[in-house]
Amino acid sequence: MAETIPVAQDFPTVKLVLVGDGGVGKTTFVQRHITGEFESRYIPTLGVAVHPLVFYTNFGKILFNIWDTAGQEKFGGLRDGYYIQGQCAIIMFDVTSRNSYKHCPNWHSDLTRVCESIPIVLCGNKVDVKERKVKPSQINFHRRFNLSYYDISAKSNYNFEKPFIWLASKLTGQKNLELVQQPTLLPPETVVDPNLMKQYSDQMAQVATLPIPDDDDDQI
Amino acid sequence: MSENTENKEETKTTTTTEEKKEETTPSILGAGKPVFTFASVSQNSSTLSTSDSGDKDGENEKAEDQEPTIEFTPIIKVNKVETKTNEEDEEVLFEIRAKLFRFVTDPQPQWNERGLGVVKFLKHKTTKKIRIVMRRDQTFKVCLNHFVNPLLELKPGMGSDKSWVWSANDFAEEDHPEGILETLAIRFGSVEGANSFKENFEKFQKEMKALANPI
Repeated sequence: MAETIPVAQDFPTVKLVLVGDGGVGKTTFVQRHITGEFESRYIPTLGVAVHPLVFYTNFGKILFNIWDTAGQEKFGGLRDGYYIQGQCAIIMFDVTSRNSYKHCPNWHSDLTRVCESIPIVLCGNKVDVKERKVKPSQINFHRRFNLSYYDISAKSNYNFEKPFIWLASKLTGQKNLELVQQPTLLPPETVVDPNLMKQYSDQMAQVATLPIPDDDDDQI
Repeated sequence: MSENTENKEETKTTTTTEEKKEETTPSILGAGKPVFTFASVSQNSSTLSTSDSGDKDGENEKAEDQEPTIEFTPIIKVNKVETKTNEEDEEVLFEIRAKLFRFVTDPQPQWNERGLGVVKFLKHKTTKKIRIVMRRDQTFKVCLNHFVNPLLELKPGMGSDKSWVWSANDFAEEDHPEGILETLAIRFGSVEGANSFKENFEKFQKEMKALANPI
């Protein structure tokens, strides 16, 4: 039986375990959420990297500590040692790699051996890629285990918030949980700092010859 | 091996039944057999073809979202909160869709995407100060937030007539209330959009400059 977590801060924190084969896009997905960037280079994760990721909901702010685990076996580190006290999970595969889908049941059984019955989302990433190999009709493993499923794309942001909304709603037991606008900070009243102005112009000089990415205008 | 698997399913069945007290759709977990496919999530093939147009042989059809109505014991206690944007006392002067980038030097000097969404200029009803704010689509997280300081300077983006570049002390990150010096690039869907953004930006800078107590 899961126990209720005492709320130390003014918002709750949960541990989310993110698993899946190497190269399916776990780290890129997390980074996309945190900074907005899309990293297309592949830099394998060693062991685990823990990233705090907040969401603002109509039930307040919720913080997921994402345990972004190594997908590649040789970099696995403590492996299922990282799953201990996981309170929810995402299993990710790449819809352009059949193997990555085939391995999902293994990731699932490893997870549930440690975490038992926690809410788990299955995500098929890279659905923006034209040559999809794992067809929607072939994705069915999650049904036996009551996982939710989303096609996602860390590149186009398709559905990329959905796994967190579903997990947050299950963890809180609130069916009508939804995301709301993050409150803005009020910028402080500052006097002009000549030093800051110098930094502005130095940075501007650096970017003068750096072309701005210009690919996906249809999104704007 | 097979005995192991069976045991596991047994355990699972018990927990699930225990935990589904809030269940509203009675048909789902039938006779305590959660391992079955259930109706609410099994109809993908017939209803898929609506979303994406222009696919050949449905190769790039998207799979439907599937959300089983299973319940878990909630581990977080939350109450409904009144949501505040901190923009309640401001009016929107101008807004337009855009893609925002920021300059980074790691691993090399490059533009990293910062957010896609609506960028807007907000004027405070009493102080009359104007700031620029942008939130990302879908997650509504703030990716740009600073006053339209008259000293800022928009420069044309290299290699694009639909974009502008500027540096500012930005207050988008709530963990950095002191601000972060960012060099930003913003790209619009059209040249007209980019031009109208610049016209407004500069107009609002003049308004800020005219204030008795400017930033």
